[in-house]
Amino acid sequence: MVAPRRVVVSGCGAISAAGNEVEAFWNALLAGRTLLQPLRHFTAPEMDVLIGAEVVLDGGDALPADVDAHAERARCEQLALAAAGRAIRHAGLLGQAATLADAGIILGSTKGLELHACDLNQRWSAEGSAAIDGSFGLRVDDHRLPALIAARHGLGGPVWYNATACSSGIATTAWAFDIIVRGDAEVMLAGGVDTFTRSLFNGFGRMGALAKTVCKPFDKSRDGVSFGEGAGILVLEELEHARARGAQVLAEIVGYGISNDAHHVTAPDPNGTGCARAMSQALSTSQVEPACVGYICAHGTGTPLNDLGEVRAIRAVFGALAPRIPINSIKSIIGHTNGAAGALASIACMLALGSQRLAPTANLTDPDPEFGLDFVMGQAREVAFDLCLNLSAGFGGFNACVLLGRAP
Amino acid sequence: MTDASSAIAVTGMGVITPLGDSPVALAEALAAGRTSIADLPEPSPASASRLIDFEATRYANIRGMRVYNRASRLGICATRLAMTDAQLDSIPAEEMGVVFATRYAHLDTLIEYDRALVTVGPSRTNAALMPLAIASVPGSVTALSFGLKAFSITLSNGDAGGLDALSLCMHLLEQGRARAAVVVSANSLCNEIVLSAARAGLLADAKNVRVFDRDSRGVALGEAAVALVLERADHARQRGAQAKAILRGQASRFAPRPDLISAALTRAARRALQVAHSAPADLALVSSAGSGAPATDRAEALTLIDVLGEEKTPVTAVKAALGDADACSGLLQTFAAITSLSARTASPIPGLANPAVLGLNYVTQATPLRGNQALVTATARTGSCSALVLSSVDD
Repeated sequence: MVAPRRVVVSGCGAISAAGNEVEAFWNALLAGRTLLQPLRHFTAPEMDVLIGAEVVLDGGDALPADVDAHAERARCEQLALAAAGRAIRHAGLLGQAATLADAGIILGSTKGLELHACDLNQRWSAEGSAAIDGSFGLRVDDHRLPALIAARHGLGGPVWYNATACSSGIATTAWAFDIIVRGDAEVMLAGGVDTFTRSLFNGFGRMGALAKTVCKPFDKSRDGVSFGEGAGILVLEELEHARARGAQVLAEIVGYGISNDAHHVTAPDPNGTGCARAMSQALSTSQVEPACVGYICAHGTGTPLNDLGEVRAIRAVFGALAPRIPINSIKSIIGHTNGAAGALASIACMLALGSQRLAPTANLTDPDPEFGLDFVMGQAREVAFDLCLNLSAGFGGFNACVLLGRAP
Repeated sequence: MTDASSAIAVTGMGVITPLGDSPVALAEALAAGRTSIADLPEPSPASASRLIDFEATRYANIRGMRVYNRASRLGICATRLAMTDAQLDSIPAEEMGVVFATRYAHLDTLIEYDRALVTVGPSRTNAALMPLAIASVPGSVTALSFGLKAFSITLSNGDAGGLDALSLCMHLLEQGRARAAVVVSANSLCNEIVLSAARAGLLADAKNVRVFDRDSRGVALGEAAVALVLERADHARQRGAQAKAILRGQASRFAPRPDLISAALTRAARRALQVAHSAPADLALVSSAGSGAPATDRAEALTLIDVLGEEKTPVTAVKAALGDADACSGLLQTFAAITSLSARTASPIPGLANPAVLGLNYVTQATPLRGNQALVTATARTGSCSALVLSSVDD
């Protein structure tokens, strides 16, 4: 019997308010200080103060002229290209044309290329339909996001765009994992990207879902979400392929689980049954016992319902083990980066596996007494563990989680 | 195809098109060589295959559906038709999922919502539109409408999305992550996209949309919805369901430059044949992506000449009848392949008189088929190319 193909991560790129290199990202997470603050470069109608976590790109990330001459509307492309370039470099694949020619990418996002529709509407009053040009259709085609990366780096494998809202960053990893396992590619890039749009702030503001100050995951006084922008890309690779080329191995993708709430267009299921089904599926399809999970990186958005449902799901799946598993959320540090969130959290998980240290949950000082779980708070914690679970939930009800293990 | 026991079958089909809203009616219209493409009053030149009298409540009475946009309602209605066709009552909703393939299904809602933010301000904007203005909505509201709890995924891979969605769903079912799932796509015309396509010079008036023809000037747009129910063939047999086709292999590849589209589509087709354990000689039919766009039609023709070699496999193209319905087209082509294999007759390509690329067996009149496998191809403007091999159930 042929042994199943194993999938590892051989590189990553993390663009967030915590910086644009993996080391800076990890140092900021370990420091546990929130990067949420009044936004300086983004505004939304009728909102005086917007709180969020903005990315500052450096000169090397200037928008290529062949992508778009308009940096403001092409922010998402810029973040995605910056993360992908770093991930490919980190994996030692820069200039490896033959390997890249067979590689693919699956990218996800919540808001995608929405800024191009915003740009059209901004000009609509003055220009009317004259504001629509022949390339508008292509500019708002979300598939252009992974296609730009693929074209830049000469990728010739599957190039997909996944839209499962805030679970996109993990869903893309799951689909890329399957493509490698079944032998359709040796190397796949996977991840997510999102930036700020006015509908994000105005929409969540109207729903009362924005935190009044900053998000406080799992805290008794939590009152909503705070957004960040960013991009996270992982380079997934078949284990023997990575070994043969002498690549670094950061972690192993052990398996994944998915489910759908089918509960409400916006609200998560407060009982967390969908989230629990996804976790149970990840464990069972990977043949991993719950006791082997040594850390959970929660979705932890800081909204009352999300955190409640997530805690209930963890309790349902892990039972008596639940209070002994360290749990954190990185969203109170870099904000909720929507489609990028799951991928950036996976990078945090890999760094935690490699260093055996867990980042604290910023702004969490008084855990909801009903939760009774072991939240990492205050300062970074040293923990010995081999496997961790990264959770995500998307607007509309799609849940995805991924099991990551220490590098084999 | 991994092994015979986990082969994925199509057990239900739902279609809503200008040429018919039942599999039988649409198959008959395609076989008769009918087309629903007509000129648009503006912009000019432009043409489309439009659903003039679509009324969602004729197909499904789903609570809350009236706030969804036209594409989502079309998708939900096609899903209802496919689920009814598959007689899925015995499968719990918790064990069913949906993959929605789209390109612009949320865009009109996004533009409307965002434009209101700019023009009248957030406090006077319909807040209910915000959650419906993101790309994942078509999949999530379809799942919500039917209580599907295994997964709700939206893929946006341009014209290649329909075949990629089939691939994703096939593999999730093979792994047992659901017992059955619906792959659905719907396309409606968004004014901004129609205008942009016209200004890009992509569109032609109806008489000049001629798929694979040397005189073609461009494409027609298409409105349609298609849903296919997939499940493992052995599971379908156990519950007494009639399989309509077996999906044998799929692959997608990318062209980093426009001049590499033909090469990428060739790689995708060869890989799909390899996965299906099939050879070009096994193919009874090619249900192609031919649209009337001269450059991509030429690229596809060159691919098919390369892949088929000496085989004179009949090549058909449903976009000549139904226009280019973006991500929905791949599923329309799949539908056409399934019904053609079943009827053992290939449907003609309306309007094709003088092929631009010679060397292929283009179907210009209803043609008897020998064999039971078909190749379906798709290409996206952004560079993705996909191919699917399927067979009728008597394989």
